[in-house]
Amino acid sequence: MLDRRPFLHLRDVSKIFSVGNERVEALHKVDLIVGKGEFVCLIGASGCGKSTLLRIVAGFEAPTSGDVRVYDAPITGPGSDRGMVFQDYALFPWMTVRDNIAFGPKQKGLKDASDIAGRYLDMVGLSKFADRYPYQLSGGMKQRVAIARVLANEASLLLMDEPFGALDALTREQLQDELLEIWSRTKVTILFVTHSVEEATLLADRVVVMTAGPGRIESDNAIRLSRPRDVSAPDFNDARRALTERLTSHVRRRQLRPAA
Amino acid sequence: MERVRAIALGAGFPLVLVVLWHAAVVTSGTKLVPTPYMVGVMMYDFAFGGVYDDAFSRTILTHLFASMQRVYGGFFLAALMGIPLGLAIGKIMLFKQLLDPTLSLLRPIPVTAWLPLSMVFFGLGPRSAVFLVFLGAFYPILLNTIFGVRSVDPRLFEAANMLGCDGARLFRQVVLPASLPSIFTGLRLGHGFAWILIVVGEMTGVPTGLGSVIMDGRTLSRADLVITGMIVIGVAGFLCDRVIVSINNRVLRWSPQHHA
Repeated sequence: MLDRRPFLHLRDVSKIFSVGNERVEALHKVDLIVGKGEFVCLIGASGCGKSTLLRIVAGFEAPTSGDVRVYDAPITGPGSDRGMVFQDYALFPWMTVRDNIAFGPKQKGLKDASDIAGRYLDMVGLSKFADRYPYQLSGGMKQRVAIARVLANEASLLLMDEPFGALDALTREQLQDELLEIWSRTKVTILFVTHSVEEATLLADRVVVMTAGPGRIESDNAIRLSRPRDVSAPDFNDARRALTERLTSHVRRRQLRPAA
Repeated sequence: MERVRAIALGAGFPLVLVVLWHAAVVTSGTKLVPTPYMVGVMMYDFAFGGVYDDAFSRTILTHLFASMQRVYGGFFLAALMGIPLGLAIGKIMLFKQLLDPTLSLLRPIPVTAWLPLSMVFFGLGPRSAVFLVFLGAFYPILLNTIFGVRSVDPRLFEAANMLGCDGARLFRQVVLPASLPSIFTGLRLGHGFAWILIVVGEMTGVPTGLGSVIMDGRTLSRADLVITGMIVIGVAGFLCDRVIVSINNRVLRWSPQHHA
């Protein structure tokens, strides 16, 4: 059962960027609670602030106002309890696959960093590629390394910013399956940004729909489908359609507004 | 086959130039420029002696080592100061604001303009030559290092931060290796300038060195000696550049696009 204590708690989070003389409100008073072990997808049109939200949780950006906490500890900067998986991988190109994964444990001064890396290499099925450099890997393999890198660092919250967006459809499906498998094995909490309704429906316990201008949360939708989910099943289709309607309803409203 | 062709073309062209040189000297009947054969004899005497038996016979190693000491003295000094300073200016705003304007003011001053002052500071002797070589090698190394740091994908710094790496460790483990491709470009350029500047450096009244041999040749109106000195500098500079290239390719084996 899910532990419903607020693991990650965002309260009244706003973020204003200054671009020249213009002030853009990327996030407006966002509240979000994520329970331990939950898989939450953030979805919305580009500019809705979903990536900004993720970067604030990661500690790469500070909110203009509001409060972000993990178990009551305020987030003040990047930390090894939260691991970001970037769309463009951000692997260290001068390190082998093994050294990339061992990077976090090495920072903690762990003597068995290399063994830890070996375990996670095994988990993502890349043991044979341990001594390769990132340039020798396919996109899917790079993203597996990036996931293994944050898991090896014992991150309890995985932040994923459209991680499979740059992959071909076949590789994407495979990585979605592997991610679900890893999630159920490690009990890690996942906050996952996507713009694919199907991906959100397949992966998430909850799908948070965001809207742009200023970025805020439009709706919070539980996906009550049993796992493993079958994308060709009728109830999957229903859930996906319902979600698509949530997503497009406000888009249609926004389009009509200027004419009204 | 392709390799044979490359060698034939690459070595054949200078041979053609030598033949043209010979023909030009013979047909014009000039006494000011020696034939390639005369330069060859001078080179033999410079290396092994037994032809002219004068002050320059069998002195090639003395002059070559003297020049290399100054070239590499100045070059390593430039690398030792240029790389850390470049990393600091590239990554730390304080250093950029403090040093960038001064360096930009000093940079357009030609190295040869420093010659009189360097003789005042360091006297007539090898230290002055080392200083000029240092000046010539310093800016390409510094500027390429700064450029290297600036062009590192900022996500790599974010990734390192979230994996628990910051402060001084970030410089050694991320900033430095990520900038290595540009640093090597700077080292190669600086190394080329170091060999170029050795003649200028050894104009400052040092008794040994390939630059001083060329200056002596000028004073004595011995063009064969001048050309011999030029050829030794060219060959030594070329061979040392190949050493740097092979180090470059070894250190940057993770990035084939940066192989030379």
